[in-house]
Amino acid sequence: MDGHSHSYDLTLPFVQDELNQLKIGDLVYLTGEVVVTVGLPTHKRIKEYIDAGKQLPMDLTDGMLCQVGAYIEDTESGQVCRYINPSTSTRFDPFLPTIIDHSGVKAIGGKGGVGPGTVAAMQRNGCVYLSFVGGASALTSEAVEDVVEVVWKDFILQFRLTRLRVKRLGPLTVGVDTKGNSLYVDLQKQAKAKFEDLMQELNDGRL
Amino acid sequence: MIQYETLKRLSADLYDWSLKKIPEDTKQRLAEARDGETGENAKKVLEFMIRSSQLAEDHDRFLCSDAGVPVYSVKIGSQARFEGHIKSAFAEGFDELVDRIDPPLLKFVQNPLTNERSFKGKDMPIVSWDVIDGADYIDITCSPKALGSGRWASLEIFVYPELADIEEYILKTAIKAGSQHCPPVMIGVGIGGSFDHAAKMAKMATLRPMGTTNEEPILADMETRLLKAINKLGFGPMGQGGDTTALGIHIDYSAGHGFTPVAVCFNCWINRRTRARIYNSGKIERIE
Repeated sequence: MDGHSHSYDLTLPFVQDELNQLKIGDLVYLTGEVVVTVGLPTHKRIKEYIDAGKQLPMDLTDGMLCQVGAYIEDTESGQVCRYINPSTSTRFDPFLPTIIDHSGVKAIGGKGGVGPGTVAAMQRNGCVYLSFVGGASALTSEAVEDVVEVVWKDFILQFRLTRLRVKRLGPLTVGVDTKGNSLYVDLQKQAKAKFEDLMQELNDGRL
Repeated sequence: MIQYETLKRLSADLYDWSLKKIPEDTKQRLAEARDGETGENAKKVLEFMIRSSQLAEDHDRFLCSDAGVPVYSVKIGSQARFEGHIKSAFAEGFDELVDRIDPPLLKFVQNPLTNERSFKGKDMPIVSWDVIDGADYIDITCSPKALGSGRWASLEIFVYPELADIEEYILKTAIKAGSQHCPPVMIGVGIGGSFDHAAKMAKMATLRPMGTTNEEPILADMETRLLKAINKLGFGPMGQGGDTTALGIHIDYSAGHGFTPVAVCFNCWINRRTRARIYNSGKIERIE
Protein backbone atom coordinates (compact mmCIF):
# COMPACT_ATOMS: atom_id res chain seq x y z
CA MET A 1 0.00 0.00 0.00
CA ASP A 2 2.62 2.51 1.01
CA GLY A 3 4.84 3.52 -1.84
CA HIS A 4 4.65 0.20 -3.68
CA SER A 5 1.38 0.45 -5.55
CA HIS A 6 1.17 0.25 -9.32
CA SER A 7 -1.12 2.17 -11.59
CA TYR A 8 -2.97 0.47 -14.45
CA ASP A 9 -5.10 1.59 -17.37
CA LEU A 10 -7.68 -1.12 -18.05
CA THR A 11 -10.35 -1.35 -20.71
CA LEU A 12 -13.67 -3.13 -20.51
CA PRO A 13 -14.62 -5.89 -21.08
CA PHE A 14 -11.95 -7.19 -18.70
CA VAL A 15 -9.25 -9.67 -19.55
CA GLN A 16 -8.73 -12.15 -16.70
CA ASP A 17 -4.92 -12.03 -16.86
CA GLU A 18 -4.99 -8.29 -16.42
CA LEU A 19 -7.23 -8.58 -13.36
CA ASN A 20 -5.07 -11.32 -11.86
CA GLN A 21 -2.03 -9.04 -11.80
CA LEU A 22 -3.81 -6.44 -9.64
CA LYS A 23 -2.81 -6.25 -6.00
CA ILE A 24 -4.61 -4.51 -3.17
CA GLY A 25 -3.57 -0.88 -3.04
CA ASP A 26 -2.95 -0.65 -6.78
CA LEU A 27 -4.63 2.17 -8.66
CA VAL A 28 -6.76 1.58 -11.74
CA TYR A 29 -8.20 3.83 -14.47
CA LEU A 30 -11.07 2.34 -16.45
CA THR A 31 -12.21 2.95 -19.99
CA GLY A 32 -15.25 1.30 -21.53
CA GLU A 33 -18.79 0.54 -20.38
CA VAL A 34 -19.81 0.01 -16.77
CA VAL A 35 -23.19 -0.72 -15.18
CA VAL A 36 -24.23 1.40 -12.20
CA THR A 37 -27.02 1.42 -9.61
CA VAL A 38 -27.36 2.14 -5.90
CA GLY A 39 -30.66 0.39 -5.46
CA LEU A 40 -31.17 -2.34 -2.90
CA PRO A 41 -34.36 -3.31 -4.75
CA THR A 42 -32.28 -3.38 -7.94
CA HIS A 43 -29.71 -5.77 -6.48
CA LYS A 44 -32.58 -7.83 -5.14
CA ARG A 45 -34.15 -7.98 -8.59
CA ILE A 46 -30.86 -8.98 -10.22
CA LYS A 47 -30.62 -11.85 -7.73
CA GLU A 48 -34.25 -12.85 -8.42
CA TYR A 49 -33.51 -12.95 -12.14
CA ILE A 50 -30.48 -15.15 -11.49
CA ASP A 51 -32.39 -17.44 -9.12
CA ALA A 52 -35.17 -17.84 -11.69
CA GLY A 53 -32.69 -18.46 -14.51
CA LYS A 54 -33.91 -15.37 -16.37
CA GLN A 55 -31.59 -13.35 -18.58
CA LEU A 56 -30.59 -9.97 -17.16
CA PRO A 57 -31.45 -6.94 -19.30
CA MET A 58 -27.78 -5.97 -19.26
CA ASP A 59 -25.04 -8.52 -19.80
CA LEU A 60 -22.49 -8.31 -16.99
CA THR A 61 -20.06 -10.88 -18.44
CA ASP A 62 -16.46 -9.65 -17.98
CA GLY A 63 -17.94 -6.35 -16.92
CA MET A 64 -18.26 -4.14 -13.88
CA LEU A 65 -21.24 -3.52 -11.62
CA CYS A 66 -20.84 -0.37 -9.57
CA GLN A 67 -22.66 0.81 -6.48
CA VAL A 68 -22.72 4.26 -7.98
CA GLY A 69 -25.65 6.63 -8.08
CA ALA A 70 -26.29 8.51 -11.31
CA TYR A 71 -28.54 11.42 -12.16
CA ILE A 72 -29.66 10.87 -15.74
CA GLU A 73 -31.63 13.66 -17.38
CA ASP A 74 -33.79 13.32 -20.47
CA THR A 75 -32.98 16.14 -22.88
CA GLU A 76 -33.85 16.85 -26.51
CA SER A 77 -30.51 15.47 -27.55
CA GLY A 78 -30.96 12.30 -25.53
CA GLN A 79 -30.02 11.13 -22.07
CA VAL A 80 -27.40 13.15 -20.24
CA CYS A 81 -25.58 12.12 -17.08
CA ARG A 82 -25.42 15.11 -14.74
CA TYR A 83 -23.33 13.41 -12.06
CA ILE A 84 -22.30 10.13 -10.51
CA ASN A 85 -20.98 9.17 -7.09
CA PRO A 86 -20.24 5.91 -5.25
CA SER A 87 -22.24 4.48 -2.37
CA THR A 88 -21.42 2.18 0.54
CA SER A 89 -20.95 -1.31 -0.91
CA THR A 90 -21.43 -3.35 2.27
CA ARG A 91 -25.15 -2.58 2.04
CA PHE A 92 -25.32 -4.93 -0.92
CA ASP A 93 -23.44 -7.85 0.65
CA PRO A 94 -26.60 -10.01 0.91
CA PHE A 95 -26.92 -10.02 -2.90
CA LEU A 96 -23.37 -9.72 -4.23
CA PRO A 97 -22.16 -13.35 -3.81
CA THR A 98 -25.02 -14.68 -5.98
CA ILE A 99 -24.48 -11.94 -8.54
CA ILE A 100 -20.73 -12.61 -8.70
CA ASP A 101 -21.18 -16.39 -8.90
CA HIS A 102 -23.72 -16.31 -11.71
CA SER A 103 -23.47 -13.17 -13.82
CA GLY A 104 -19.88 -13.35 -15.03
CA VAL A 105 -19.17 -9.92 -13.55
CA LYS A 106 -15.45 -9.32 -12.94
CA ALA A 107 -15.41 -6.15 -10.87
CA ILE A 108 -17.58 -4.59 -8.22
CA GLY A 109 -17.13 -0.88 -7.65
CA GLY A 110 -18.21 1.30 -4.76
CA LYS A 111 -16.74 2.64 -1.60
CA GLY A 112 -15.76 1.32 1.80
CA GLY A 113 -15.21 -2.31 0.80
CA VAL A 114 -17.33 -5.47 0.98
CA GLY A 115 -17.87 -8.20 3.57
CA PRO A 116 -16.32 -11.69 3.83
CA GLY A 117 -19.03 -13.50 1.84
CA THR A 118 -18.55 -11.18 -1.10
CA VAL A 119 -14.76 -11.44 -0.87
CA ALA A 120 -15.02 -15.26 -1.00
CA ALA A 121 -17.23 -15.03 -4.09
CA MET A 122 -14.69 -12.70 -5.70
CA GLN A 123 -11.92 -15.21 -5.05
CA ARG A 124 -13.99 -18.04 -6.55
CA ASN A 125 -14.64 -16.07 -9.71
CA GLY A 126 -11.48 -14.03 -10.28
CA CYS A 127 -13.37 -10.84 -9.53
CA VAL A 128 -11.96 -7.65 -7.94
CA TYR A 129 -13.34 -4.81 -5.82
CA LEU A 130 -12.47 -1.31 -6.97
CA SER A 131 -12.92 1.53 -4.53
CA PHE A 132 -13.95 5.03 -5.56
CA VAL A 133 -13.17 8.18 -3.61
CA GLY A 134 -16.50 8.90 -1.91
CA GLY A 135 -17.90 12.40 -2.11
CA ALA A 136 -15.65 13.46 -4.97
CA SER A 137 -18.55 13.60 -7.39
CA ALA A 138 -17.34 16.59 -9.39
CA LEU A 139 -14.09 14.94 -10.46
CA THR A 140 -15.44 11.39 -10.70
CA SER A 141 -18.26 12.55 -12.99
CA GLU A 142 -15.77 14.02 -15.48
CA ALA A 143 -15.01 10.50 -16.71
CA VAL A 144 -18.56 9.86 -17.95
CA GLU A 145 -18.73 10.17 -21.74
CA ASP A 146 -22.16 8.87 -22.52
CA VAL A 147 -25.30 7.19 -21.24
CA VAL A 148 -25.60 3.98 -23.22
CA GLU A 149 -28.76 2.48 -21.77
CA VAL A 150 -31.14 2.77 -18.83
CA VAL A 151 -33.50 -0.06 -17.87
CA TRP A 152 -35.92 -0.95 -15.08
CA LYS A 153 -37.51 2.47 -15.24
CA ASP A 154 -40.14 1.50 -12.70
CA PHE A 155 -37.45 2.32 -10.12
CA ILE A 156 -36.47 5.85 -9.07
CA LEU A 157 -33.52 7.36 -10.98
CA GLN A 158 -30.62 6.21 -8.84
CA PHE A 159 -32.02 2.68 -8.52
CA ARG A 160 -32.32 2.05 -12.26
CA LEU A 161 -29.80 -0.14 -14.01
CA THR A 162 -27.71 2.27 -16.05
CA ARG A 163 -24.93 1.54 -18.49
CA LEU A 164 -22.42 4.37 -18.84
CA ARG A 165 -19.48 4.80 -21.17
CA VAL A 166 -16.50 6.13 -19.24
CA LYS A 167 -13.03 7.31 -20.15
CA ARG A 168 -10.21 6.92 -17.61
CA LEU A 169 -12.59 6.61 -14.69
CA GLY A 170 -10.47 6.77 -11.57
CA PRO A 171 -8.17 6.49 -9.84
CA LEU A 172 -9.96 3.52 -8.29
CA THR A 173 -8.10 1.58 -5.62
CA VAL A 174 -7.98 -2.20 -5.71
CA GLY A 175 -9.65 -3.04 -2.39
CA VAL A 176 -10.01 -6.79 -2.97
CA ASP A 177 -7.89 -8.72 -5.47
CA THR A 178 -8.67 -11.95 -7.33
CA LYS A 179 -6.85 -13.99 -4.68
CA GLY A 180 -9.20 -12.86 -1.94
CA ASN A 181 -6.83 -10.37 -0.30
CA SER A 182 -8.76 -7.47 1.20
CA LEU A 183 -7.41 -4.06 2.08
CA TYR A 184 -10.32 -3.65 4.51
CA VAL A 185 -9.69 -6.90 6.36
CA ASP A 186 -5.98 -6.04 6.60
CA LEU A 187 -6.62 -2.56 7.96
CA GLN A 188 -9.20 -3.81 10.48
CA LYS A 189 -6.72 -6.41 11.71
CA GLN A 190 -3.97 -3.82 12.00
CA ALA A 191 -6.24 -1.44 13.89
CA LYS A 192 -7.42 -4.15 16.30
CA ALA A 193 -3.84 -5.26 16.89
CA LYS A 194 -2.97 -1.71 17.95
CA PHE A 195 -5.93 -1.33 20.31
CA GLU A 196 -4.24 -2.39 23.60
CA ASP A 197 -1.17 -0.21 22.98
CA LEU A 198 -3.30 2.79 22.06
CA MET A 199 -5.40 2.35 25.21
CA GLN A 200 -2.18 2.25 27.22
CA GLU A 201 -1.01 5.45 25.53
CA LEU A 202 -4.36 7.12 26.25
CA ASN A 203 -4.14 6.11 29.91
CA ASP A 204 -0.50 7.13 30.31
CA GLY A 205 -0.99 10.50 28.68
CA ARG A 206 -4.11 11.57 30.60
CA LEU A 207 -3.79 14.81 32.61
CA MET B 1 -39.56 41.99 11.50
CA ILE B 2 -38.19 38.83 9.88
CA GLN B 3 -40.26 38.02 6.82
CA TYR B 4 -41.57 34.51 6.12
CA GLU B 5 -40.20 34.58 2.57
CA THR B 6 -36.73 35.58 3.76
CA LEU B 7 -36.60 32.73 6.25
CA LYS B 8 -37.89 30.25 3.70
CA ARG B 9 -35.39 31.33 1.09
CA LEU B 10 -32.43 31.39 3.48
CA SER B 11 -33.09 27.94 4.95
CA ALA B 12 -33.24 26.49 1.44
CA ASP B 13 -30.13 28.38 0.33
CA LEU B 14 -28.17 27.08 3.31
CA TYR B 15 -28.91 23.53 2.19
CA ASP B 16 -27.97 24.34 -1.41
CA TRP B 17 -24.69 25.99 -0.36
CA SER B 18 -23.76 23.15 1.96
CA LEU B 19 -23.88 20.69 -0.93
CA LYS B 20 -21.44 22.63 -3.11
CA LYS B 21 -18.68 24.00 -0.91
CA ILE B 22 -16.51 22.64 1.89
CA PRO B 23 -16.17 24.80 5.02
CA GLU B 24 -12.95 26.85 4.94
CA ASP B 25 -11.47 25.28 8.07
CA THR B 26 -12.05 21.81 6.65
CA LYS B 27 -10.48 22.75 3.35
CA GLN B 28 -7.40 23.96 5.16
CA ARG B 29 -7.22 20.86 7.34
CA LEU B 30 -7.46 18.59 4.28
CA ALA B 31 -4.54 20.43 2.68
CA GLU B 32 -2.51 20.08 5.87
CA ALA B 33 -3.34 16.38 5.97
CA ARG B 34 -2.25 15.95 2.35
CA ASP B 35 1.04 17.71 3.02
CA GLY B 36 1.68 15.62 6.11
CA GLU B 37 0.70 12.21 4.74
CA THR B 38 3.45 9.62 4.46
CA GLY B 39 1.37 7.08 2.50
CA GLU B 40 1.59 7.51 -1.27
CA ASN B 41 -2.00 6.42 -1.95
CA ALA B 42 -3.32 8.40 1.01
CA LYS B 43 -1.73 11.54 -0.40
CA LYS B 44 -3.27 10.84 -3.82
CA VAL B 45 -6.70 10.30 -2.32
CA LEU B 46 -6.51 13.56 -0.37
CA GLU B 47 -5.33 15.38 -3.47
CA PHE B 48 -8.26 13.93 -5.42
CA MET B 49 -10.68 15.10 -2.71
CA ILE B 50 -9.21 18.59 -2.69
CA ARG B 51 -9.23 18.91 -6.49
CA SER B 52 -12.75 17.57 -6.71
CA SER B 53 -14.07 19.96 -4.07
CA GLN B 54 -12.41 22.89 -5.85
CA LEU B 55 -14.05 21.83 -9.11
CA ALA B 56 -17.43 21.58 -7.37
CA GLU B 57 -17.00 25.03 -5.84
CA ASP B 58 -15.82 26.65 -9.09
CA HIS B 59 -18.63 25.16 -11.17
CA ASP B 60 -21.44 25.15 -8.63
CA ARG B 61 -21.70 21.35 -8.65
CA PHE B 62 -22.35 18.83 -5.90
CA LEU B 63 -19.44 17.67 -3.76
CA CYS B 64 -21.22 14.38 -3.14
CA SER B 65 -24.16 13.17 -5.16
CA ASP B 66 -25.76 12.02 -1.94
CA ALA B 67 -27.40 15.18 -0.66
CA GLY B 68 -28.68 13.20 2.31
CA VAL B 69 -31.55 14.75 4.18
CA PRO B 70 -31.59 18.39 5.27
CA VAL B 71 -30.83 18.75 8.96
CA TYR B 72 -31.07 22.14 10.66
CA SER B 73 -30.16 23.42 14.06
CA VAL B 74 -32.10 26.61 14.66
CA LYS B 75 -31.61 29.05 17.52
CA ILE B 76 -34.28 31.68 17.90
CA GLY B 77 -33.39 34.91 19.65
CA SER B 78 -35.89 35.72 22.39
CA GLN B 79 -36.11 39.23 20.93
CA ALA B 80 -36.51 38.06 17.34
CA ARG B 81 -39.81 38.99 15.71
CA PHE B 82 -41.12 37.20 12.68
CA GLU B 83 -44.04 37.13 10.36
CA GLY B 84 -45.85 33.82 9.88
CA HIS B 85 -44.98 30.26 10.91
CA ILE B 86 -41.32 29.34 11.24
CA LYS B 87 -41.70 25.57 10.94
CA SER B 88 -43.59 25.72 7.70
CA ALA B 89 -41.02 28.15 6.30
CA PHE B 90 -38.41 25.39 6.55
CA ALA B 91 -40.70 22.77 5.04
CA GLU B 92 -41.78 25.03 2.17
CA GLY B 93 -38.21 26.15 1.60
CA PHE B 94 -37.17 22.54 1.12
CA ASP B 95 -40.04 21.87 -1.29
CA GLU B 96 -39.10 24.87 -3.40
CA LEU B 97 -35.43 23.97 -3.36
CA VAL B 98 -36.22 20.54 -4.77
CA ASP B 99 -37.82 22.31 -7.74
CA ARG B 100 -35.09 24.88 -8.39
CA ILE B 101 -31.75 23.40 -7.33
CA ASP B 102 -29.21 22.77 -10.10
CA PRO B 103 -27.95 20.10 -10.53
CA PRO B 104 -31.23 18.46 -9.48
CA LEU B 105 -31.44 16.36 -6.32
CA LEU B 106 -31.94 12.63 -6.35
CA LYS B 107 -34.63 11.25 -4.05
CA PHE B 108 -33.09 10.61 -0.68
CA VAL B 109 -35.95 11.03 1.78
CA GLN B 110 -36.93 7.53 2.81
CA ASN B 111 -39.94 6.27 4.66
CA PRO B 112 -38.41 3.74 7.10
CA LEU B 113 -41.66 1.78 7.33
CA THR B 114 -42.13 1.19 3.62
CA ASN B 115 -38.63 1.99 2.24
CA GLU B 116 -40.33 4.28 -0.23
CA ARG B 117 -38.14 7.13 -1.52
CA SER B 118 -39.32 10.63 -2.17
CA PHE B 119 -38.54 14.31 -1.75
CA LYS B 120 -41.08 14.54 1.03
CA GLY B 121 -41.59 12.75 4.29
CA LYS B 122 -42.75 12.96 7.86
CA ASP B 123 -40.72 15.44 9.96
CA MET B 124 -38.71 16.49 6.92
CA PRO B 125 -36.57 18.60 7.05
CA ILE B 126 -35.22 17.55 10.43
CA VAL B 127 -35.07 20.66 12.58
CA SER B 128 -34.03 21.06 16.19
CA TRP B 129 -34.87 24.23 18.06
CA ASP B 130 -33.19 26.26 20.72
CA VAL B 131 -33.46 29.76 22.15
CA ILE B 132 -30.82 32.47 22.58
CA ASP B 133 -31.80 34.85 25.34
CA GLY B 134 -31.75 38.47 24.30
CA ALA B 135 -30.78 37.99 20.66
CA ASP B 136 -32.74 39.79 17.93
CA TYR B 137 -32.00 37.24 15.23
CA ILE B 138 -32.60 33.66 14.16
CA ASP B 139 -29.39 31.64 13.85
CA ILE B 140 -29.58 28.69 11.43
CA THR B 141 -27.02 25.96 10.87
CA CYS B 142 -27.57 23.43 8.10
CA SER B 143 -25.63 20.17 8.09
CA PRO B 144 -27.30 17.60 5.84
CA LYS B 145 -26.78 13.98 6.72
CA ALA B 146 -26.44 10.95 4.47
CA LEU B 147 -25.85 7.25 4.98
CA GLY B 148 -22.11 7.26 4.29
CA SER B 149 -21.10 8.71 7.63
CA GLY B 150 -24.50 8.72 9.34
CA ARG B 151 -24.65 4.95 9.64
CA TRP B 152 -21.70 4.61 12.03
CA ALA B 153 -22.89 6.83 14.87
CA SER B 154 -23.20 5.02 18.16
CA LEU B 155 -24.49 5.57 21.68
CA GLU B 156 -24.01 3.60 24.85
CA ILE B 157 -25.14 4.25 28.38
CA PHE B 158 -22.56 3.67 31.10
CA VAL B 159 -22.95 3.75 34.85
CA TYR B 160 -20.34 5.86 36.67
CA PRO B 161 -17.70 5.38 33.95
CA GLU B 162 -14.05 6.30 34.39
CA LEU B 163 -12.50 8.49 31.68
CA ALA B 164 -10.68 5.35 30.47
CA ASP B 165 -14.05 3.62 29.88
CA ILE B 166 -15.31 6.55 27.85
CA GLU B 167 -12.13 6.77 25.77
CA GLU B 168 -12.18 3.02 25.16
CA TYR B 169 -15.71 3.24 23.83
CA ILE B 170 -14.81 6.10 21.48
CA LEU B 171 -11.76 4.22 20.18
CA LYS B 172 -13.78 1.04 19.65
CA THR B 173 -16.45 2.99 17.78
CA ALA B 174 -13.74 4.43 15.52
CA ILE B 175 -12.39 0.93 14.84
CA LYS B 176 -15.86 -0.38 14.05
CA ALA B 177 -16.49 2.44 11.58
CA GLY B 178 -13.10 1.69 10.05
CA SER B 179 -12.93 2.69 6.40
CA GLN B 180 -16.65 3.06 5.89
CA HIS B 181 -17.57 6.62 6.80
CA CYS B 182 -15.60 8.41 4.06
CA PRO B 183 -12.57 9.31 6.17
CA PRO B 184 -10.85 11.54 7.10
CA VAL B 185 -13.80 12.36 9.32
CA MET B 186 -14.77 14.92 11.90
CA ILE B 187 -15.77 13.13 15.09
CA GLY B 188 -18.26 14.50 17.60
CA VAL B 189 -18.75 13.13 21.11
CA GLY B 190 -21.35 13.94 23.73
CA ILE B 191 -20.85 12.76 27.31
CA GLY B 192 -23.53 12.86 29.98
CA GLY B 193 -26.93 14.50 30.23
CA SER B 194 -29.58 12.10 28.98
CA PHE B 195 -29.97 9.75 26.02
CA ASP B 196 -31.30 12.39 23.64
CA HIS B 197 -29.13 15.20 24.95
CA ALA B 198 -25.89 13.23 24.55
CA ALA B 199 -26.72 12.53 20.90
CA LYS B 200 -27.51 16.17 20.30
CA MET B 201 -24.23 17.24 21.93
CA ALA B 202 -22.25 14.83 19.76
CA LYS B 203 -23.89 16.16 16.61
CA MET B 204 -23.33 19.78 17.62
CA ALA B 205 -19.72 19.02 18.57
CA THR B 206 -18.95 18.03 14.97
CA LEU B 207 -20.01 21.54 13.95
CA ARG B 208 -17.57 23.34 16.24
CA PRO B 209 -14.94 25.21 14.19
CA MET B 210 -11.77 23.19 13.72
CA GLY B 211 -8.73 24.36 15.58
CA THR B 212 -10.73 25.67 18.54
CA THR B 213 -9.71 24.42 21.95
CA ASN B 214 -12.18 22.92 24.38
CA GLU B 215 -12.90 25.20 27.34
CA GLU B 216 -12.83 22.24 29.69
CA PRO B 217 -9.16 21.16 30.22
CA ILE B 218 -10.09 17.50 30.78
CA LEU B 219 -11.83 17.44 27.41
CA ALA B 220 -9.13 19.47 25.64
CA ASP B 221 -6.67 16.83 26.80
CA MET B 222 -8.99 14.00 25.77
CA GLU B 223 -9.44 15.49 22.30
CA THR B 224 -5.68 15.75 21.75
CA ARG B 225 -4.92 12.22 22.92
CA LEU B 226 -7.85 10.60 21.11
CA LEU B 227 -7.14 12.30 17.79
CA LYS B 228 -3.60 10.98 17.94
CA ALA B 229 -4.77 7.48 18.87
CA ILE B 230 -7.47 7.33 16.18
CA ASN B 231 -5.06 8.47 13.50
CA LYS B 232 -2.63 5.77 14.58
CA LEU B 233 -5.31 3.17 13.73
CA GLY B 234 -4.10 3.57 10.15
CA PHE B 235 -7.35 3.40 8.14
CA GLY B 236 -6.42 6.60 6.30
CA PRO B 237 -8.30 8.62 3.69
CA MET B 238 -11.14 6.51 2.18
CA GLY B 239 -9.66 3.52 4.01
CA GLN B 240 -6.64 3.33 1.72
CA GLY B 241 -4.28 3.20 4.69
CA GLY B 242 -2.49 6.28 5.97
CA ASP B 243 -2.01 8.77 8.76
CA THR B 244 -5.30 10.66 8.45
CA THR B 245 -8.41 8.80 9.57
CA ALA B 246 -9.83 11.79 11.47
CA LEU B 247 -9.50 15.51 10.83
CA GLY B 248 -10.48 16.26 14.39
CA ILE B 249 -12.45 15.14 17.40
CA HIS B 250 -14.64 17.53 19.36
CA ILE B 251 -16.12 16.50 22.69
CA ASP B 252 -18.80 18.15 24.76
CA TYR B 253 -20.27 17.18 28.10
CA SER B 254 -23.22 17.90 30.26
CA ALA B 255 -24.02 17.28 33.90
CA GLY B 256 -26.38 14.37 34.38
CA HIS B 257 -27.08 11.47 36.67
CA GLY B 258 -24.99 8.38 37.47
CA PHE B 259 -26.03 6.87 34.15
CA THR B 260 -23.75 8.46 31.60
CA PRO B 261 -24.63 8.25 27.94
CA VAL B 262 -21.69 8.53 25.55
CA ALA B 263 -22.63 9.36 21.96
CA VAL B 264 -20.20 9.32 19.05
CA CYS B 265 -20.95 10.51 15.54
CA PHE B 266 -19.05 11.24 12.36
CA ASN B 267 -19.00 13.79 9.56
CA CYS B 268 -17.37 12.61 6.33
CA TRP B 269 -14.41 14.55 4.89
CA ILE B 270 -16.74 17.07 3.24
CA ASN B 271 -17.94 18.08 6.73
CA ARG B 272 -21.04 19.76 5.31
CA ARG B 273 -21.92 22.82 7.31
CA THR B 274 -23.38 26.25 6.55
CA ARG B 275 -24.66 28.88 8.94
CA ALA B 276 -26.36 32.27 8.78
CA ARG B 277 -28.41 34.69 10.82
CA ILE B 278 -31.42 36.81 9.98
CA TYR B 279 -31.92 39.92 12.08
CA ASN B 280 -35.15 41.73 12.86
CA SER B 281 -33.87 44.46 10.54
CA GLY B 282 -34.00 41.97 7.67
CA LYS B 283 -30.21 41.84 7.42
CA ILE B 284 -28.78 38.44 6.58
CA GLU B 285 -25.36 37.62 8.00
CA ARG B 286 -23.61 34.65 6.46
CA ILE B 287 -21.37 33.08 9.10
CA GLU B 288 -20.21 30.01 7.18
